[in-house]
Amino acid sequence: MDINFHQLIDIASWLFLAYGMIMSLGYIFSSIFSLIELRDYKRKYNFKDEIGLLQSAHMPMISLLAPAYNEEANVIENVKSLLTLDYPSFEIMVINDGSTDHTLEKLIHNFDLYLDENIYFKHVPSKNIKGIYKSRNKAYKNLKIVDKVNGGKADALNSGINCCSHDIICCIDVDCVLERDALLKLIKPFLNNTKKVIASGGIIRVANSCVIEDGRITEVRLPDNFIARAQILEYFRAFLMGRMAWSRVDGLLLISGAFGMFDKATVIEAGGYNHNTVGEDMELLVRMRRIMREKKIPYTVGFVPDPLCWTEVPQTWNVLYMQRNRWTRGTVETLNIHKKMLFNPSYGVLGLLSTPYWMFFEWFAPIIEFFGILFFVFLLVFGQVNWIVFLIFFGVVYSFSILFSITALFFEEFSFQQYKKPEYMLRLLYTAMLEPLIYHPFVMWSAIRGNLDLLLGKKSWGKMTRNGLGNNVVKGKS
Amino acid sequence: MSILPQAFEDWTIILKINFILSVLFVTLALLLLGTVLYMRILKNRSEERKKTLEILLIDFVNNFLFDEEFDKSKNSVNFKNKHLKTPYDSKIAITQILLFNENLKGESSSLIKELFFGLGLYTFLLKDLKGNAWHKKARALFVFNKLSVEVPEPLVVSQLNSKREEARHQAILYFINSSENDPLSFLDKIDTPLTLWQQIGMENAMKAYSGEIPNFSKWLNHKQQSVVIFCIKMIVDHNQFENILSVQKLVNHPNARVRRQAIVSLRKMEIGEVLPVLIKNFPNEGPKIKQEILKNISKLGSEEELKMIAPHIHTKDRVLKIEYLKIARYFNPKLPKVKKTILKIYPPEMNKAKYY
Amino acid sequence: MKKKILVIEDNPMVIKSLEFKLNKEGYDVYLTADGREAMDKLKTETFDLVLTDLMLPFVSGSQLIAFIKGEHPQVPIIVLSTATQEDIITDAFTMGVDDFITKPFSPNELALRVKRTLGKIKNSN
Repeated sequence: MDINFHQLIDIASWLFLAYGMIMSLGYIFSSIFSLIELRDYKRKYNFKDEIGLLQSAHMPMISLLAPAYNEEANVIENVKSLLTLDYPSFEIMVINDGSTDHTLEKLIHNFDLYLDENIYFKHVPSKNIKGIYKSRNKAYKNLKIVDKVNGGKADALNSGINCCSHDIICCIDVDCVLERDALLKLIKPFLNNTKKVIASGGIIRVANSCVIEDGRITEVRLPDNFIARAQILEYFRAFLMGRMAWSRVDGLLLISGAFGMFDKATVIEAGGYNHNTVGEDMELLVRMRRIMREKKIPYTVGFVPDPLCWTEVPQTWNVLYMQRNRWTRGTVETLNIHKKMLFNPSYGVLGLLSTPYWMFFEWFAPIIEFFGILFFVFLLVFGQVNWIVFLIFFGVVYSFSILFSITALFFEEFSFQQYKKPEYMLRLLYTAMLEPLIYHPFVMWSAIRGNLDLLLGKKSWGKMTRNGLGNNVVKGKS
Repeated sequence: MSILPQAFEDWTIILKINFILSVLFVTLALLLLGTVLYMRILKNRSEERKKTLEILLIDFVNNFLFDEEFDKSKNSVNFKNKHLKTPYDSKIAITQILLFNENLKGESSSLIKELFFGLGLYTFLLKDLKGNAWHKKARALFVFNKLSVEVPEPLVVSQLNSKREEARHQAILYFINSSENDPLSFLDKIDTPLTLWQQIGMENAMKAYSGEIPNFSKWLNHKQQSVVIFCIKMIVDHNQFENILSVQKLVNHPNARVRRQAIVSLRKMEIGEVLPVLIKNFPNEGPKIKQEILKNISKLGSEEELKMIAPHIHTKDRVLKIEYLKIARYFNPKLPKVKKTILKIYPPEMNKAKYY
Repeated sequence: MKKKILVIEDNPMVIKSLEFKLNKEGYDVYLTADGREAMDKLKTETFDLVLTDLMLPFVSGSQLIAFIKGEHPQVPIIVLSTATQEDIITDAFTMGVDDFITKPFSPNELALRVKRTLGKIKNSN
């Protein structure tokens, strides 16, 4: 018995070490790539020539798609703030996804809307559209409201795609706070490339506790809420280190549903958003990339690290749990739908790097961690815990997560430092030290439950999150 | 140190590795933290430096521009020696000068230029332009261009086909703005495609160009299709009706994108004469161009012409079909309404892509 | 007595240049960076001329013009703005603005126009 335990512990230790090494190597590489990409970006956009863009008649026209479900409290202000975005020619399509409150009535009343009889074509599947509204007021001539039967976020966005008139679409959450020049910055990858650009995404920033005036962030503050602060660190890691690096090797798999721009023709060709997954934003980009690859058309996906989109993140454990549970299911579903790409050299970077990364780092990591803890509990029960060994193992994991978070802080400092007070840096450091002990295990547990729910075929969660569309449940996953 | 090694000796290899790694991580974390704090302090300090220097600069420039008794050359040398010690200082000075240049015109413009030379900023940027870093080169060209300062031409020509889009962009703008009568002559030297971004920059530069606008048809046979497309757009923007015939010929160009731009531009210029050719070409064009042709017929043609292409719209081309019906109703409002026609057939790729 | 000019402009470089140039021309120059502050100043003091931008923080230029035209209709207003669109300029004139100078501007020309506007007012009085 004794020997068996030792062998077991030995094997487990080596496995642990090997896994840890792979993880660390991955992070080191991603830091390096991200550093190069960030430096390049900063050099590239050194010139302030947006004014020229604003006057150009040849800028591609953009359709902004903003799904809204029971948003009567803020919808008017949100739309007004969207109307003041700096861009020469764009339309705003607010998609009322069968709200049960007075969202539509409020919009009709405030913007003097009338029902416009127009033909539209169902390029991608979506539920029935009850009507498209336009404003009588010239000041709102680029505003359209699509009223439709409730069908969830993917369905709402698909309706928007069917009804909108321009070639570039920008999908946003209606409650996001966008910087004035957000569209100008996000369109740049489309203009700046000789290759075809199918999509471009931006960084999501945490808006909790920030001062917002007239739909603009006027002062960036660090939230007092620990959960929100932990997410700030998490978003630094995910966006500044993760996605920036993926962008460098052109292997980006996810553009946040909260803020992303797409080439409409390619979206339609791919079939639009998928109704059958809760991770519709990731699934769409993967499918678009896959189709381009299969058709052997050279293409690329852009990424813009400027802080352009600010969003409220969950502040309570419960909402955070639901969000992470859903993200996990979205990831697993997407990987499952596109399992053909995994380790498939004919998909290039996507097959050999991106999808395996998502499988090992995003899907398996919490599960492996969970089993590690189970194993520890098992040893504890049988009184086999060697506390020195435990302390050392714990030390290596803990020191690594702190190192990782500090690296993220470094990237924030290097890129577009938003938390300028030195006091903020110290509080973030303090958060980084607590995060692995409190926040991380909870997120891991949410992911485990997500896996279980998926395994048990629980669909009820989908409905719940649908109700929360654009409300508190924010998308911005790594 | 005396206790640890003893225990350390007894540990298994795996424990040793882990222990060393922990120590390594902690050290790295501390180092990195130091770097972050150091960067923070450095940034704050340079921000402060920037603020003080900006105030000094604004004062100095105002004196330079508006005080007639001010000894310009002597004070410039003094200011340069006293305040512009590092490249960072020079960069701040350049930014301020650009700001002045952007807001003031008339007699002040030439004074600003004089100041730019007086502070040694020309020499500073010329060094950048001769150096190796592409971003410095692009930045230097950007400034020279904004202030309309001339530099030796070979230095700019070499950037026209630079590997970096940004350097090419600035070189292009420089050539347009610095040329007296032939702003686009550089197009002959271009052998990389123009990005949309560059085209927009060129378009704006041409709008602001004070000399004679060239005849854009000169480059309609350029080997880069993006150059051809740009010139078609410019012919419309600058109303060069004398070039309509040349544009008309492009509807038979081998490249689809050129054909499409020609069709769009002819529509904008309201040239109906080319419709028979478009109708003849219709059956052989791709869906995108077909849609453009439909739009041309809708704007410039008649119901008869629309009917001529009807046989070539297949029932499976739903998007085209609906476009066709819309235009048919536009020509003849008595036709039955199609507003409730919501077609539910997705493109064939969809069925494959939908749910794997 | 020196003529008093109120300048409302949020670009620090432009405001400094205006101050410098107008001081040189022998005016008393009062500076504000936003519309709200300008309104407060206008409530307590009288000015011979107002020189304002249209894009201002807090209170927009047109709101400010409407305020001045209501409270002190005799004070001439010159707008200094980047707007090059016809409609914005026409709008400003219909609101009763005396002159419109577009940025980039020539400081000498601006001084001339200020002088002219002040002169016009004197003559009509």
